[in-house]
Amino acid sequence: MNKQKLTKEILNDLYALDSGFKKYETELEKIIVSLLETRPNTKFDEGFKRRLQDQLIEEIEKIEMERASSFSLGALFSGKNLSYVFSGAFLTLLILAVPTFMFLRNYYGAPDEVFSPVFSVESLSEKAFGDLQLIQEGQTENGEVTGRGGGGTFAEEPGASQTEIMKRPDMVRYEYVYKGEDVVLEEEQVEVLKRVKQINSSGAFKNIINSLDFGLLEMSSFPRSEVERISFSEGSGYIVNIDFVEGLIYIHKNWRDQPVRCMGEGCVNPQPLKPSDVPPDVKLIEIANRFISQHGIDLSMYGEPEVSAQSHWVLERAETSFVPSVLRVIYPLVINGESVFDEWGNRFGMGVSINLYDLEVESLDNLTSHKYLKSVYGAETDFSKLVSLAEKGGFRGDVFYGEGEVETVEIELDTPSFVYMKTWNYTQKEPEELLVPSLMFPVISAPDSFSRQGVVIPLVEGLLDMDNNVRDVPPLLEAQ
Amino acid sequence: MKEPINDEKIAELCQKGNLEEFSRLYNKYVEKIYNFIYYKSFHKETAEDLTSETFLKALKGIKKFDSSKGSFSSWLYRIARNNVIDFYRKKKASSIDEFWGIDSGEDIVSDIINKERVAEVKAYLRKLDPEKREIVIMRVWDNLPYKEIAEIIGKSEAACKMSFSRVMSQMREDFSLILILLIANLL
Repeated sequence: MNKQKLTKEILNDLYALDSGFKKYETELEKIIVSLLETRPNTKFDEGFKRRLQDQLIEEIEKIEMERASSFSLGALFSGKNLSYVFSGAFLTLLILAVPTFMFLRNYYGAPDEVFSPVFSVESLSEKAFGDLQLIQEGQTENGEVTGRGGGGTFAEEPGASQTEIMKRPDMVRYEYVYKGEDVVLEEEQVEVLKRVKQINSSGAFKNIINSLDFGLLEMSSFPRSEVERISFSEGSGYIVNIDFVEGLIYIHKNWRDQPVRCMGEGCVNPQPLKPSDVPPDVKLIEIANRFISQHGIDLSMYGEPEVSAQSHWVLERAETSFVPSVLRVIYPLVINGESVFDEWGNRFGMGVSINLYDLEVESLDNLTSHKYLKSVYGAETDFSKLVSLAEKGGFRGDVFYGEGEVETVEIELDTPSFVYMKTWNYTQKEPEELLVPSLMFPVISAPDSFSRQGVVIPLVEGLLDMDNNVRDVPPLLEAQ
Repeated sequence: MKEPINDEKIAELCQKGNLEEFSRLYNKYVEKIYNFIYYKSFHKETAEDLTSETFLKALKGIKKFDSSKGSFSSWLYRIARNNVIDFYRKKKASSIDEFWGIDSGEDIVSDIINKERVAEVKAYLRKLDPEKREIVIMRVWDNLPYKEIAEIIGKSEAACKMSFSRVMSQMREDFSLILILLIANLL
């Protein structure tokens, strides 16, 4: 808590006790501030912290060793309520060959490098993530064009989810009009965050890898090996994929043992879903919450769950199209008290997809670690410039290509709020996940066919100066 | 919706045998406890020794923690406070007060002006009744809420608030102190 806030809090406590103190506010404030300013610098020593940590590890090891005498495989499973099978014999080896305390040592030795749900951030120098202007050009700083492949097996792609349905390009031109109030932007700098994706697994698994002998191969002959991804399968239940490279966990049903849903003869669910089959949001959220609770997933980084706006958009048109079999409940990511949106203005966070046939969770995506680096970048303070960018459709303007009549439709935008925009930096060898302070202009009035919730404009100068960020209607269509 | 995991829940996991969870509590509190002890001793080595003792005792005695009797934080601070009391008892001091401010703090205050101000404020705080001084330090330097202070020192919340307000009244009336602080600020 900062000095000013604490002083106010202490003063308010005093006033609550005796309002007579208010008369002496100036003097009291000075006394409290002076007390705060004279708080000794204790020079807490990180070396001491590590030494004590080691001491505690030794103590834990002793306790664990004592407990190990009564350790059994059955007890481990029942105690942890785990029914996952760790890729056949691997788990057996893991449990029998490696004492529990090895995990504890590794865990404690590198507490920040496991999947910690706790938010942590480390400051870097100014503009440490390079020139952000290049992000959308897909170029490295030396001009080399990079691909958009990459990413891990389970990496989610921006804006993608199983429930989102590719919309047919509308033959309309959207004209955004700002109807909100004027906003004064005072901050000349903003802090951009980069998620530290890589989870260092070398410590945790080194001893296990070195002890593995697969018959055909001795893993110990690859002494520098690290575990990049592992999967746990419940057989007829779920598969848990842990991606140490992306710092990401993805859970989905094991399709191998699921009934095949199709529309023909002999299919399990031959009937397509009707809008009336879709339960209310509260029911879907309840199913998602139950799943999250059952599996001990930490929600401290997320806001109140909601059925994703895209799902709603699809459902609202279900009478004339179709009802999807899966809807997604989103747990919005909240960083430093601010919501996070993707480049298209959709809420960003962890998703739980629910199958509407059996009302069971089908998958959980984007459960990530929350270790970040931060770096300062220059901020745009000219609000009118930001408005004009928003009126062009924003960071990701609407692009469509096609033939036929073009209709112009007005979209009204309201006063923006501060958010983070999740974006990807493809200019590096490995795509980087960035959270850029931005303004979110919510859509207040739009035709029924329009699905965007808002327009996001990043506040970082480098991103704004790029003309091709904001895309106008292609000239071909204008000519028509 | 599942609530974010709190200290008491983590302590409960430790009680059930998941001692690896203790690291979360350690990382959250180690610096706070160290500072808490430092403000009572003004001595780096003593603060480190007593902090170590506090966490080792908390780890070994985690099963004794009862969340129905108060927060984990209060429980941990109580262990730390008892360690400080025991430490001074072993030193055969009649009270902590004898040792309060034993160290000049030369290793911690680098600039002369601030050093003087610390010395003045410390001198003033030293004159206070030990319990009142402890409450002031816990509220202002440790930034602990009254509820927690009350749980740590075993008094009622109202009594803690009253003690603090009396010190504030006393300090306000003490013109010489105000003068010292004003001069220090002007410097």
